[in-house]
Amino acid sequence: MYAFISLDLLPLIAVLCTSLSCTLVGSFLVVRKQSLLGDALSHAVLPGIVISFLITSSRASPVVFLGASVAAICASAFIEALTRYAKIDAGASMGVVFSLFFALGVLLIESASARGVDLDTACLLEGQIETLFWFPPSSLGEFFSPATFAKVPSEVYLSVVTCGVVVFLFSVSFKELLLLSFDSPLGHALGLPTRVCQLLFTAAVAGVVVSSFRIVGSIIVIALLVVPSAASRIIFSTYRGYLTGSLVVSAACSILGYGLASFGPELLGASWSMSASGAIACMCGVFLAGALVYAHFRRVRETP
Amino acid sequence: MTQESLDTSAHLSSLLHRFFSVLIFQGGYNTSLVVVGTLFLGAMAGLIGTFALFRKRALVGDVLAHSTLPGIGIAFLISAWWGATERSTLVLLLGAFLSGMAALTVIQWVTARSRLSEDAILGSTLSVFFGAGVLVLSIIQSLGVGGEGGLNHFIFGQTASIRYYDALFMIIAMAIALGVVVALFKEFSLACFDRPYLKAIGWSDTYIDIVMMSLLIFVTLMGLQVVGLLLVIALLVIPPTSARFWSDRLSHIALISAFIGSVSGYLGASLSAVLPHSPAGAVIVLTSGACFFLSFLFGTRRGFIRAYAKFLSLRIFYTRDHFLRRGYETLERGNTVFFSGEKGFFGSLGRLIARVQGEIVSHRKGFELTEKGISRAAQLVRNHRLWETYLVEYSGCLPSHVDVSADLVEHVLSPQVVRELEESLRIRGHAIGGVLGSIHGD
Repeated sequence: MYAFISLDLLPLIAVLCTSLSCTLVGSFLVVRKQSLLGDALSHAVLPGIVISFLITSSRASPVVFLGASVAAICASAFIEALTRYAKIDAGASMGVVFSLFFALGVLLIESASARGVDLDTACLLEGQIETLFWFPPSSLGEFFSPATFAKVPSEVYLSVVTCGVVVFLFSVSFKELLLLSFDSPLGHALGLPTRVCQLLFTAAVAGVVVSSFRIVGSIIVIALLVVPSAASRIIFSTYRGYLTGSLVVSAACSILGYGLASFGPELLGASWSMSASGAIACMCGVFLAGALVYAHFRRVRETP
Repeated sequence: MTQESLDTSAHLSSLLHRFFSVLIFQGGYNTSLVVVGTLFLGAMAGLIGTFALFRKRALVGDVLAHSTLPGIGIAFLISAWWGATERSTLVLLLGAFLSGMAALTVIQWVTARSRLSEDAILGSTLSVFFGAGVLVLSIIQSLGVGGEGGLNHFIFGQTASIRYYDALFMIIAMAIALGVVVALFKEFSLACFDRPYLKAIGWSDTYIDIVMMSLLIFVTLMGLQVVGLLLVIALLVIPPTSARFWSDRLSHIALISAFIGSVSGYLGASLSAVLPHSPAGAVIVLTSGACFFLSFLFGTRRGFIRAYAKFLSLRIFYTRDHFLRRGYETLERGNTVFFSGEKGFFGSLGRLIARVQGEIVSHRKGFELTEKGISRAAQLVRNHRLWETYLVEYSGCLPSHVDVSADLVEHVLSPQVVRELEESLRIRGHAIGGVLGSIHGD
């Protein structure tokens, strides 16, 4: 039990909080047909991270967070401008902007590593869930002292705070978001500032992407933004069902994926290990396939 | 000059010298191979990318590139299991090809059979396949079979690893792809723009799509080795979007896009060969980004400068027309001298143009129309009132609102449309004299 609390509890909390915030944002991305925005933004943050790192030469969360957010917001502004003013297809302008940003980041990393600055690119991809261990006191009496909670890695707090902020923002502006996603002209007619809302929503996506991928890696962020919502979209027809379904699927994916990665090889008696982020993304794929098969058989049954 | 600045300029000139020697293929055997290989790769990607863009499949290349990762990992595992010590690129590419095909099949299948929108399908396929790839790579790393460092080259690209056969392969592949595109150019453009017609002339649109997507996989695999799987999308998307600023014709766009692709491959590879610590993939992509920026500014069809100039000239002539009309309406009321109603920069520019063209003369108290100005203004007023009449009679505009709509539209009426309007109004029994009376009054 102590081993579980010390090694697996915090990663699980971080992953669950991340999955909750990603899926809340992602459910709107999927119905707004912007599913690839998360992918684009998670590539585009690279130069921001590298530049902020080169300027301050610190790996501290707030600095990196700031740099990444600036890059993500710049990228989404460019994408929006290219689509609107240069009349380029939305997918293509996304491709142009994020690949240029990413190329800039790669170039900067390479020239920085020549000067002896080391930035781990694999860490950006896979995150650092496995490193979030914690050594709490073994007796319950000492458990609730401030010193215990000071030892919790800051990434866990970041994920919990992000999750709280996202849940708060979404419960406050749920009706407006729904209106914006399904009938933006009506929203405009009712006096909702649609352009501003649009920008705020993109900023929320950028915030979630930036704060999550530091903890869990960009690959989970991309997967959790889209796949649970897509799976739930296949099955449910009401928005309430769809949202509940995607949250449940995403929580299940995180727990099962994490469990598979940390206990699977051990149970098999194998000497190798696997990445939790990859396992969670694969688990999402399993759920999506399950939803597709279920929908297929439901259709077969319903057609006479 | 100080010693230091002398050093810098000497360093710069030697860099430039080396850059030019690389450009004319005198930079050593391997460098020349890389430059030639990326030149052909860029051209091929630009060509195929054009069709992907117009087929609204611009990001399929990205999905394909990401989804080659599990195939590469599994191929690596199998070859390690068989005890192969040398990691053959061909085996890894075969694995990449198979998992790319699998991803394409999944995309096609799910698009046809579920209500998910295309972007959700693309996003899901990308993340699940890439996640599987990360999973396989992490297993490989923990197994410690050795040689797995080479796998990272597929993620970030490793141009320097191009050998003679790779370059030769790229050139042959380019020739084949070029042949296919030329032979099927009409069918490809129909698949992008007019699928019913494609079916009507006896082609299966699925079949054409499969050919197009196979070429896309082909390019993606070539690109993996050079720029890495995260940047392949840039080779496929940036050249055609840049070409879009220069032309509206598909054949021209395809040619320009292939040209931009090859130029950025050629210049980018040469630059990265000369500059220290510059990964070729990123430099090639940034070079094509520079091409994109130039096209965006100077493009002759949709470029920013052209569009802005068009907007400015429209606005200036619009003000000039209003100015002349005001002169004519003053004339109708029996006065000859009128004042300018158009203020600001555009107003004065419009007045200036009218004066230069000899349509007005400055007067002590204002302006006065010349003979030429009167005839031009009469024409303008006539157009305006014709259009007002038409709006009131046939499209149910309120007489109080008609002036504004007529103002918006009259500047874009071509002479032919004006003739047709006159004709239709005459047929319906309206007397059209020299100038119609204004409907809304003054």
